[in-house]
Amino acid sequence: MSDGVTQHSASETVFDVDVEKLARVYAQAGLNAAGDPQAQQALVDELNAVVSEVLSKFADIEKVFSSVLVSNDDKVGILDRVFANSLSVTALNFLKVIAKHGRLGELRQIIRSANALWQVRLNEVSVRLELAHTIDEALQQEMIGLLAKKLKATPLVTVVINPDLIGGFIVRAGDRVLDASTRSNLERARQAMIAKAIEAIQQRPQTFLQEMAT
Amino acid sequence: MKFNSDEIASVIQKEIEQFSTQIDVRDVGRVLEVGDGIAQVYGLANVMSGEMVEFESGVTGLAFNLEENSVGVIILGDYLHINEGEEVRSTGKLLSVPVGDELLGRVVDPLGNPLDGKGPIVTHKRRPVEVIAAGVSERQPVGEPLQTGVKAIDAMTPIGRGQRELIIGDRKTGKTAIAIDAIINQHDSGVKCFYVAIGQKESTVAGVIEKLRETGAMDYTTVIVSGASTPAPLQYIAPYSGTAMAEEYMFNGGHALVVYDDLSKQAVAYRELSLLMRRPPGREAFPGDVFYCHSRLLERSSKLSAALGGGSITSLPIIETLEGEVSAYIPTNVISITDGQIYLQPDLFFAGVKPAMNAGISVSRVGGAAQIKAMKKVAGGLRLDLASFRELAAFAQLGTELDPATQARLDRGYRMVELLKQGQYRPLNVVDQVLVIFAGTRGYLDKLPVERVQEWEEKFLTFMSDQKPEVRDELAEKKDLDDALMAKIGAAIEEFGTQFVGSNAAEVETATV
Repeated sequence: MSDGVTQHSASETVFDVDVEKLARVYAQAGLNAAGDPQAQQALVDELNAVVSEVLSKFADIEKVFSSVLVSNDDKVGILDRVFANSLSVTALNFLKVIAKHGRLGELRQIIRSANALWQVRLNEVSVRLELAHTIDEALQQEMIGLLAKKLKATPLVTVVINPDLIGGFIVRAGDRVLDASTRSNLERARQAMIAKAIEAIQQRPQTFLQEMAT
Repeated sequence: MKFNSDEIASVIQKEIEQFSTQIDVRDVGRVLEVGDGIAQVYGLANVMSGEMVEFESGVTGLAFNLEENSVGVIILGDYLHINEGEEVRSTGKLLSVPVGDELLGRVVDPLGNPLDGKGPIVTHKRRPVEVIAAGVSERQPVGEPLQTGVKAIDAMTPIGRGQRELIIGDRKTGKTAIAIDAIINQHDSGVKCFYVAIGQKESTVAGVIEKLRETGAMDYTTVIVSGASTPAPLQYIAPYSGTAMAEEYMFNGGHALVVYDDLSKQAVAYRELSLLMRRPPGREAFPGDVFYCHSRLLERSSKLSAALGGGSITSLPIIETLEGEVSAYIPTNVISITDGQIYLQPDLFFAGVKPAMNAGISVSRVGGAAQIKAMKKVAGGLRLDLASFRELAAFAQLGTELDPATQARLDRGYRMVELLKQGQYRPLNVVDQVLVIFAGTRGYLDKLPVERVQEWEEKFLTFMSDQKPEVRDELAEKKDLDDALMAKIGAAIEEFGTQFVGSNAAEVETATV
């Protein structure tokens, strides 16, 4: 997966569950149509290049793709003119099918889904490793090794430095979060102390009260 | 007085000493949209249906809809402070509420938080809000009476411990009054009571609580309030919370009475949630599983087997009908789930018959098994007699001349109707009920003017407790009527008849019915 796609994915804040569901269907069909794993990898690379080289650089083309004022046939014509010499037949056909179905406006999401699906097929998982401060390379590799064992998949690690954690780390892999940060431990300790003190006061209120000095 | 800081410091110190760092493993998701008490969450791939989730702002929710791409969460608290994109974490726990004696006398919300300003509820015991009801082998048939103190009910539609008896009727027909009387009457029965107010005006609930306090019933009662202004999720879970609190007694061999006031409003709250969650609407726009919503709740009311301690939960669900329409969706559902219904009719209510129970269509499927033998003997055919009386009375209104036998049945009927009238918040001991119904059904009141029946009843009961306590005690002890005892009661009634002011023959004969 290219960096361009990752950056764009992160910047898109509006998330539509229905579009995601639809995109997954197209992504799955596209990858399956590509054939063997090498061809699937090639397709994903080409689609990522479409995002980074075309969609990100020429914002207007995305507006055209999603416009209802431009007919599907015209969009297919644009695809032919723009990508005929730069994309493989499989990739171009895939884009044309999407265009004919009037789903070119969801192209970014479809490509994102294709990347996610390809990751699953490669048994890879995106991991965000949040650290309080930089650690040496050997320790980082050791952590990645442990994560690979724990997740039973190849982790694609993105390291983020966040001094607010004070110490420790937070690992986020998909929906699962492993939080071993000092910040969270301190927060837990704070909550536990408050709860314990309230409980003790409720159970033995007289022990905690003393007469005011007159 | 002020707080002793040393004591607090020592508690905190102990907590610090015992604190151990650990890795917090959690499944998370992000809020896609939020509003009207529900949130759509993306992620939470491993969350289970009914699992509690926690929002970053500290509010808890319940995983309600598990969809392919998102999770529908009902929010149990203030949803106005939840934002799009906020992190949601699964807790791996089911929703639970505090239970135990500490809740008696308290007014709480459906999560068990106090609402009465009497301080926190200190209890370590909690029970899950949703549990599977006891199975067939864990139950025994209902056979132990639960006296409501309402003559018409205890005589004609008796309720047993572990039974579900529906109270159904239009608005303002006295549904809540019957349930409150039943609670008040448990003052010496050891039955713990739970009054679940769903979608009601706060002022109405405040009135009920005040009445329970005045009569001393709050000592053994917990009120669970989810008022009309409470978000739908809390209204939806309120009856389950009340049942969980009652189960603490049932599973420990005790007895509990739960009043759900009312389940129509809970169904409406559930419909609201389901529609917001985009579940397909069915009849009257209710979701398809609204029957299951009520059946799984009411099935939890049961009489446990002796091996499990023989505890019970009796429930009195209330359903409000519109213009007497009992064939609407929710009323028919709940009628089919429960073990009988007390049907309250507005025309009876406005005619001054209170409780306005229609004896003809009110039934208790447990029947005589939930009555003491004495009551069974005196009130055996009362329900059918009253039902046929109503038909006769309608016929008599045509002004046709009646034969003496029919006229006598009518006269008896008028007196029985009068005798079964009862003031609000004045439940009657079962022994007293047997005595007055005995007098009515055996014809001792046939000569008495109808308008004096209630006066007769009041004075007769005073007479029995003051001047014939031995007869009353014998009946209370035996709980059965043998010939000798019946003769004694008959003699006592005759004796009282001579004392009853104005009941002399001349006055009776001139009185018009």
